[in-house]
Amino acid sequence: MKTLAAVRKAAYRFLASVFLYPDAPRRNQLRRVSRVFLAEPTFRQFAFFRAWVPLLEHLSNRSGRALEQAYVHVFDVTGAAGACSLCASAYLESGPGSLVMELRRRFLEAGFAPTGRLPADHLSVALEYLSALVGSEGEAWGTDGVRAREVVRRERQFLVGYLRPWVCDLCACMRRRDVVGVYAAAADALEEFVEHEVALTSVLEDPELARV
Amino acid sequence: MSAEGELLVVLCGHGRSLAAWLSHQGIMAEVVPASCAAPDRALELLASSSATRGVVAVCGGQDLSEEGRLDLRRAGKEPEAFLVVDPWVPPDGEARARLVVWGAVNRIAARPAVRPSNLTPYLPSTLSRRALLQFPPLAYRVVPRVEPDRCRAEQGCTLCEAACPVGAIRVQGRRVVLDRARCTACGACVESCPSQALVLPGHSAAEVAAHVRAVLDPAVGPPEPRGIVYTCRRMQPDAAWHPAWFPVPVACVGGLAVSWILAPLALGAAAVAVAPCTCGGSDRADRAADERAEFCRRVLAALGVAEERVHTASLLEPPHNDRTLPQPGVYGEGLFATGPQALLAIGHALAGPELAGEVEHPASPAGLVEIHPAVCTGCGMCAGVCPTSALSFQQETEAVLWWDPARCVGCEACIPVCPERERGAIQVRRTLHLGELRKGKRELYREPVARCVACGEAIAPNRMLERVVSLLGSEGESYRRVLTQYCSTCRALSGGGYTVDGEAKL
Repeated sequence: MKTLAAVRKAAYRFLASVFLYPDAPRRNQLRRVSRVFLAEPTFRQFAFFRAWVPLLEHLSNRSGRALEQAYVHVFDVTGAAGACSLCASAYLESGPGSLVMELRRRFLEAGFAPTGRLPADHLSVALEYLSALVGSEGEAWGTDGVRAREVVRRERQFLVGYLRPWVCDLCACMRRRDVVGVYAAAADALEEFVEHEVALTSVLEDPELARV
Repeated sequence: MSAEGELLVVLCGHGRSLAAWLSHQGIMAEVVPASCAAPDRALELLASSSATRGVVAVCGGQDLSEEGRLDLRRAGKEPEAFLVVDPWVPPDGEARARLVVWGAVNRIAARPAVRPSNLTPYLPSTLSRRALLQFPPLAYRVVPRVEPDRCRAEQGCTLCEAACPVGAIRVQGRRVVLDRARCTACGACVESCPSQALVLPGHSAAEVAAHVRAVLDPAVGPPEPRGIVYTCRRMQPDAAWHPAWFPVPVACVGGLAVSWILAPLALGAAAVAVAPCTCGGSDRADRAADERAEFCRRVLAALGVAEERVHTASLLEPPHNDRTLPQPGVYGEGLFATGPQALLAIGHALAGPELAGEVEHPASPAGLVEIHPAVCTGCGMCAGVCPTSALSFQQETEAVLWWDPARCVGCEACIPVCPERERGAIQVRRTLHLGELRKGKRELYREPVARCVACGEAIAPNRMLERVVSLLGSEGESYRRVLTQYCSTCRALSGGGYTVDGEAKL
């Protein structure tokens, strides 16, 4: 379970990076990690991996300029009509103020302190938070299964109650907006990973639920 | 046969002549003698081959073990793309075995691709130490996926949610959300969807149709009458069954579509049976299957076909033998689709073009909509929510409501939105009406639309205006002229049509 948690943590961190502005250092990092994922046979055994392959191939091969242009076009930060917002408040009905306060409360409870200038409801912040939770889950599996399941329960609550409801709208926007293909592929990868995590956390929290 | 990915058949030592026959049909086949009663021994060959799908035909063959499935996945293969069959149960020689394998080959060739969205993880209950030491410790099973382009949830359809026996599928925010971990992949949602928007590899119309057609192929196997018996996916055929019964597995017999029960009869099957559910603790599934079988028998009676064609007696007995059935292979696609349209095609195949009779039954996949023309006000709300577009509405000089029986699934979504439902304006019965199906789309309601005397725009159907006036009581009478002769725009422009003192301005 510890190794599984380590892999999942890495996957969350990778996805969090995908949705940040692809400056030169980040592009290089994404290229390196994509090639590792593609080459490592362990990852192929996860069902979501097939949905990741197009994204990994894009990131392994695409030139920096093309990736930056694609990012700006899809997530145009100047707010052009039709561009996709990476923030939950653009998709959820609850007001941005109350949403951000609730998120900060959760982050504080978990000892998670996002760095940088991203708003609390940014997708990458959510993915980094889940990465942190999975990291503490992995530590707990070694010593305290009850605590580990409690962390898994929090992961699932966050996925089902907060992230999943708006990720599908974001992904639909990305698919509509992207002309190059990389962020449409990122949408597929993100959506499939979130669904896999929702199902996996159900199983980890209550293994009897899905014993076959 | 589909060209998607190579298909390989692996047989145990008893299948040498079968392998030769398959090769003659252009199907790759290999014999692994050590795989008798041990399908996992065929895995090494499967894993190292270029095949992406196949059949493992071994005596005593049951499903692949957990470990076998993990090994296949580690080799980059999708375990659900491989089918394990025992061609020699019940024992009846080479000819029958050939049919069993032929059915499996055609089935796996037609199986929809398993996508990541079809897979949900689980923790295997039994694994060897070797497997436990490997990573990841996850196995996967298949669940339905939603095809968003076909889904009508955005239009208000919730049929899949209503059909799910475990509450795993919900419509939230006009979108179908599946709790994959909770889903038991019984196929009930697949059967309920009138748009075929839910895809469950292992329980699809395409692969069941391919399997049945192959098993009923007169060019393959013995000439004696053949029966089709639907079983739950994990059920092993009983060696005591009469050899004329050919098992066709589905996800769960509780999710069996009515058309799947009747279609084999149109293709030349002597009879069709449904084996008891073996999914575990599933009285609901058995009840659903029994209801559908009973409905099918009543349909056969209405068509003048022997009810015994839907076999409810023991499978130790042979299927009913009626030599008056039409030649197989004549009828085209669509027999296995869910919904009334398939039943029309099946009815024509079994009883000719002059279909008549009706069967009212809770298991009917068809509905019959009745409008009370004196009560309906022609608002068209019913058509706006119909998930299959069986009801359609048009308003120009007249308000016209159309109904297409080939699309109506009797879901009753039209009733709650009808403003005159308390007065019986619209009723829906779970009825397969063969005559209506044959006649096709027809008009249910027509009412002239009143037009504004000032601008000529449409106001509303006359009957709706009369209803509004009547609801307003004595006050309505004073408004009658304004309401029935002026559109809302002209009334608004004139300040409502009346002065503050109630004097008409229009």
